[in-house]
This record gives sequence, structure tokens and C-alpha cells, in this order.
Amino acid sequence: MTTDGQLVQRLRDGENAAYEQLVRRHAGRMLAVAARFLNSMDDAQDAVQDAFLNAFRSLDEFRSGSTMATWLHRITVNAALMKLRARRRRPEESIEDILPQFDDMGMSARSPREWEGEALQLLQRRETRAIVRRSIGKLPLTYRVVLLLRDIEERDTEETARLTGLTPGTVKVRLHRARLALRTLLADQFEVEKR
Amino acid sequence: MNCREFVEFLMAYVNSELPAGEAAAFRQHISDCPPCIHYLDTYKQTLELEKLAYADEQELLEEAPDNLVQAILKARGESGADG
Repeated sequence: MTTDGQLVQRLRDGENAAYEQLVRRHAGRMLAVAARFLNSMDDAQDAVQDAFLNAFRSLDEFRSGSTMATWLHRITVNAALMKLRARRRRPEESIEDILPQFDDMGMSARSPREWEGEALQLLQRRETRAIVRRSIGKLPLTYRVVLLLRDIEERDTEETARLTGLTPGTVKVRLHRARLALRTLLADQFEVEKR
Repeated sequence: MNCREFVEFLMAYVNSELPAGEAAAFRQHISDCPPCIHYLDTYKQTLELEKLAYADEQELLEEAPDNLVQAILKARGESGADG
């Protein structure tokens, strides 16, 4: 199979068919990445389209030392964030309802229980992974974006702050609350029935 | 420490960022509060679940839909990037 490096070289030499090969090879993965950040598949497709345009305008920045997939992945995340920024004019959804609740004494209002049948083993099933992804998708947007950047993309607090326009302190608070809220959503799915 | 404070300190505890005194109070609370043991355990499972949830997304969407491929090729033509 022709390597990405060879295709890039052909593209630099003016062979336009190489562009289509690169698009067919990488666009599916990029669409999956963009869809994590954006609620609509149309928006995710737009982000991938923007990402390709950005990538191939700056093809000179691609170095053979990194892989094309990694390079395109980062550009896709940036394109998805740009798309979010452009439409972030709507009022922020509240996360309060899915945070842990406490009584006046600071004790848990809803007693946490174990999760059934080794949730991690269940994760081998495609449907369980889909439940987790859907639950992440239910988090309010700004919390979801921070969670994805910190926990899935493994960007550090400073880079996440730069990409989202938040302060590092706010990134930490949002990550903490996003994880708590996600735990609540997963508990609704995995908590064992009270006996 | 009560359950509310336990939850506030949770991320710092899991990241080993709690000062010694607070970490000791945290552990003391867990030893006295079975619901918070479950909470800590399921919080840690949440962190693992979220990472694994995306581990094989690549295989779910290996091929890009053809309409997307065509839109990307068209957009490049329109942007004049062919030159």
C-alpha cells in the first residue's frame, strides 16, 4: 500500500489524485473524532471538510516524523472547536441536576451503590461502549469539551485552557464537575438494583 | 469530613494532589462511610470507562461516507487549492 508520506510527496508534485486517496483513507476517522465534540453529524462533516482544507493549505508543516493520522487528528479537534466557538451563543445548559446531591449535614442524599456485573467487562460489548459515549454526549457542552480534551485527548490543563478560552482554574473545576456528572449518568445505567 | 467534602476532594485525591492532612481525613471518611467507598470505586470506573469507550471507534467508522468525500474534494477545488 502506498504510504501517507508517498501520497503527500505526490501531492506536492502536483498529482491531485493523491488528495482523494488521502481523503478516503483518513476522513472516516476524522468524522468520528469531530462527532465527539459536535452534536450534529452535519456539523461534524463540516468540521472535517474545514480540517482537510486547513491541513492541505499548510501541508508544508507536515513533517514525515509524525504520522498523518496524528497530524490530521489534531487539526480535526481544532476545526471542531472552531465550529463550537462560532455557535456558542446559546445559554449554557445547567449541570446541577446531574451532580451529587447532599442533605443539610453534607451527607449523600442518594446513597451510591455498586455497579453491576463488572461494568468494565461489559465494556467489551459494543452496546456498552455506546452507552458511555451517549452519556458523555449528554453532558452540557462546555463540560463535555473539557472532559474530552483532558481525559480522551489527554491535553494538559494549560493547553485545554488555551483551546477553550477558559482559565486553567475553570478547566479544573469543569473537569471535576464533568466527571461527577458522568458518574451520575453511568450510575443510572449500571447501578445494581436495591435489594 | 462529610460526604460533600469527600466529593469536593475526590479529583485531587485520585490525582495524588491532596496535602497529607486532607488525604488522611479523606481516608478516615472512607473507612467510616460505605456509600463513599462505592462512590470512589465507581468514580474510578467512570474514568476507565470513558477512555475505553472510544478505544475502537476507528473500526466503527472506517470508511467516510461518499457524500463527505465528494464535498471535501469539491471544497478544495473551490478554494483554489489545486494550484
